[in-house]
Amino acid sequence: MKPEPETTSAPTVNWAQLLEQTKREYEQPPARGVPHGVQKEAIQNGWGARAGRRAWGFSVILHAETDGHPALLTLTDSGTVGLTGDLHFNVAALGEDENIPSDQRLARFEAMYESGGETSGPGLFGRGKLIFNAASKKRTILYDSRTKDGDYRLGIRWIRGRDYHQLATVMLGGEAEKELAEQTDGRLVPLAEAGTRITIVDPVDELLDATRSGDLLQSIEETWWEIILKYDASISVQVLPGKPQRAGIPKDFGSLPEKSGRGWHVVCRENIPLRLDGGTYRVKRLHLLIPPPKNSVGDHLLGLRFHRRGMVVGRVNLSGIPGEISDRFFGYVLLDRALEDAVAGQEGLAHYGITSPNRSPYRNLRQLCQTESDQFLEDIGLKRRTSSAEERVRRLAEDAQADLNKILSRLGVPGFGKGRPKPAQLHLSVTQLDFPRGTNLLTMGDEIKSFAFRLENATRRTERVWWRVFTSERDTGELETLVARTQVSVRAGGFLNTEDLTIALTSPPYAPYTKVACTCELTDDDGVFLQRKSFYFYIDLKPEPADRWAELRLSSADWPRDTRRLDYSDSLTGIRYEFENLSAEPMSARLRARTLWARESNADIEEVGATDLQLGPFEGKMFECPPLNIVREIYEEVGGGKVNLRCHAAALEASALWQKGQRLAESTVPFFLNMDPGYGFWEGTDWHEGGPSEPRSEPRAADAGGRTWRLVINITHPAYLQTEADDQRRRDYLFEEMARQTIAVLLRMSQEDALATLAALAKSEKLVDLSQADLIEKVAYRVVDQVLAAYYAG
Amino acid sequence: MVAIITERYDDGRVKTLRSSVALTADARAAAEKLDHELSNRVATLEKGLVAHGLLDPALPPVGASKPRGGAALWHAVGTELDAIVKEYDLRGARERRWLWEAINLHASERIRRVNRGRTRQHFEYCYRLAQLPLSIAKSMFWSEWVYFFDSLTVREEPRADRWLLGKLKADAGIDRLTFRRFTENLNRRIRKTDTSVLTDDELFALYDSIWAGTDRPRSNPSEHE
Repeated sequence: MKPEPETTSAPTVNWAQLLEQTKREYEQPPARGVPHGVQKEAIQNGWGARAGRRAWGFSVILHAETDGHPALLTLTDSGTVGLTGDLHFNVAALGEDENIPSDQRLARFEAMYESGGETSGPGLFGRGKLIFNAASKKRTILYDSRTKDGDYRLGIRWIRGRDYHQLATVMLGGEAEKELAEQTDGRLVPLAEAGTRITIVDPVDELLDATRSGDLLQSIEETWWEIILKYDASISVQVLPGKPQRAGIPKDFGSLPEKSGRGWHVVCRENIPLRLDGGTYRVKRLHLLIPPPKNSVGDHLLGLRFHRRGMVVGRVNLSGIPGEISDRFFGYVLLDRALEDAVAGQEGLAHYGITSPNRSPYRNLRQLCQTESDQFLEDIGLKRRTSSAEERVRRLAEDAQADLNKILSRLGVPGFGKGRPKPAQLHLSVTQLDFPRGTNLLTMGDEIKSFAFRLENATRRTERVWWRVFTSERDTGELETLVARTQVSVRAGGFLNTEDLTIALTSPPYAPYTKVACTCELTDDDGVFLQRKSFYFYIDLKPEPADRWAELRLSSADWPRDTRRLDYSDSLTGIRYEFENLSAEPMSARLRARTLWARESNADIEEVGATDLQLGPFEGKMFECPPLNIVREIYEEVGGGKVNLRCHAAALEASALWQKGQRLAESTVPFFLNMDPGYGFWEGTDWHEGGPSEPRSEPRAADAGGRTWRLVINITHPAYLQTEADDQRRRDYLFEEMARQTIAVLLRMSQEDALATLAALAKSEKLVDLSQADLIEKVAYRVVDQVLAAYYAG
Repeated sequence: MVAIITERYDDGRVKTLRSSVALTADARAAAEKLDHELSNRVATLEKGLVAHGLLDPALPPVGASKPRGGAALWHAVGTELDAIVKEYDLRGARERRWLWEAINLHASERIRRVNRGRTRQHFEYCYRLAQLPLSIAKSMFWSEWVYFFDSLTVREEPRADRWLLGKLKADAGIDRLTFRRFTENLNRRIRKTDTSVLTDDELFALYDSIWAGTDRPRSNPSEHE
């Protein structure tokens, strides 16, 4: 028989490294640093050990250093059962899945990765104990305890070099008292009543600073206000010889009103069922509050927080909180015990957030909170009510866009205006389109005759591109080629039409009950896609109702500098708007461009230009607007700040789809008078039906200057369609697409510095020198990962 | 073609001169003159209002709540403002906006009202109310007029006043509740309409259709109280 090879029971552990790693975990967002982690871990241990109805308390005391003896920071709970249990409990005898019994508190404290399956406190992993050693310059802690039976016990744990040391058996009674006096130079006396004290010997500077400055007390208030409010829990911080400071409810919370009034907007909902596959849970309370504008709310209290066993764990990442209240909006969500336990399984090791936000049950919880928050904001008029599916999707995109802009700003990505201006572009449109019977509801045998696509060159040089015209259907793909891929040349300022085209609806390739797109696509010499324009018709199929019939966008403008800043005497020249009819009806519209004073409810400042345009079905035309001159006499009352350059199109004739006077489309581009612009990157989202073979999304410059961008989402891509049933998923999807395309935009805008910073590239690594593989791996993936981490961590 | 002083420091220095043309020495002098004139005109106006019993002689403390004031009071204020506008040939809403800011420098707390932004200026509402005969103005409470003028569509469409005048003249029995409901319907119906492209006839027909579609209460609820 083969002899058993010799084995070791455990590999060597470098405890110093483990300690460093623990420290890093508490320093990495969403965790808030070692001092914050110390109070969180210590109080959750104490709160979990409370003894029945006895008055519970917790105190933090800083003892100053004395001659030759380091400072001591004690963390003491009272009204608890103390470190009870056998002195020599045999942990090794337990089975793999067995926890140390909850009455063996001493053994649980001394073992690693054991929390004992705590049910009354928020401790989960039994790993937080290491934070106390990490918070000691000498990596040493004492722990003494008076058990509920009156026994006095003292233990010491220290880490030297790579090794972990702990008294083999805690000292008892007189021996423990004597050792305590010796270790602490007589500054500590044995605990008189049941409870446990952890003493951090020679605390690290950040912990000393936080204790002395009041930051630690503030952290306690932010984390433990629920038990302070509900149970009048006494928690204090004392810097000797000063008096203890008792933790209260954060002042920014006011009186946590449950109803709106006195300038507060509040919603408080209780017992909301949350149905999951595994059964029905309950959100015990969801309380959302917006204090009056004059009140400020500290950064660490903002947003919606979820609690477990009385402790604030982390933030529930809500989207679409309007900018005007984002510095005041706060709230909390309390869960029933079963839901707390279920969500706890997704918590990070340091108890500051969720590691897998896209998984159930946290995902469902977040969605519920998002729905309630949206409803609340709609009720108080801070969010538009969504009446249609299209509007709902648009709002999801707006929310995602606002979230991304905030995150990019936080990560130091420059907003609009820092990129090099992009020259004016080529414009593509259909022209002379005249549907039989004046509608794009066609029938087999019909013909669409003599239409063309028109390519206009607004650049300052002759452009050579390739064009191709074809029809396609979503499921079948391409149906008919009307113009094969051909190279064309358009001189600066000129235009070119395709030959007159005709589509005859015969089978094959056309079939009844289908929606067909006719597309002109531009590519460059290498076949790289430049742009496309499509119009649609329906064969024996009722056209889908549209939620808008026209689109208006600022196509180009020559800004006097690299930002959208305009000063007195500046002029914005070369303003060109592209107005596109998205309907099958002819359209006659008046376009008016005006400047509006953003801060003053968009009060009129001046009219910049106006024109009347007639468009055929699906046709696009340009509006060359006169220059915007910043005349001091006109703009002086604004002084400085945001001004909106708004152009809108109003129908000059009624049709079956719109009334005369109806605003058909609008484009608003802000500029900043006598000041540098604020932050903004993505300006909006557009939708197109590209089918499964087209990219999920692509970026498009919103102002042709490369300063702001719009995201074009392919709404017929299978990945997008998969998100249909779940708003939260769709919001996340849109966010992820925006995050991904941000990289593409930054690259196009030559934002090397921003990308290098975001990707944490070494100074020696220049973006232009990176290989394509490195560009993807070291830049694109890393940056997207960072943005997504910020988004999902809330 | 006018320059208007809109802000003064406590020591009397002028902070801002608003002008639709480049400021010349003559324009500055004219602005100072207008400022002096406004000071006198506003003081005289307030005295007259007190004499006619429209205004309390006592000045309310700054920030204290003030009587709301009736349509007759604000119509009288608007009539004087209208005279100033005509006298100085102030064309356009923007120049009027400056004038109201300038008048705020001279008006007492009795006729000043809280700043609700440049698009909702109290004196502009008084001025617009004064475009209607007093009898018509008095047919509604001031709060109804404010509600009406607050409407974005009315604010940007001066012809709304003309149509309303005709309507109220033709139908003397219009009650406040109907008027309020009409304003609500108006906002809802033409929120996304640029009425500037409509002819007078088209605009008035549109208003008429909204008016016709406004439910009238069968009786005034207060009569049953």
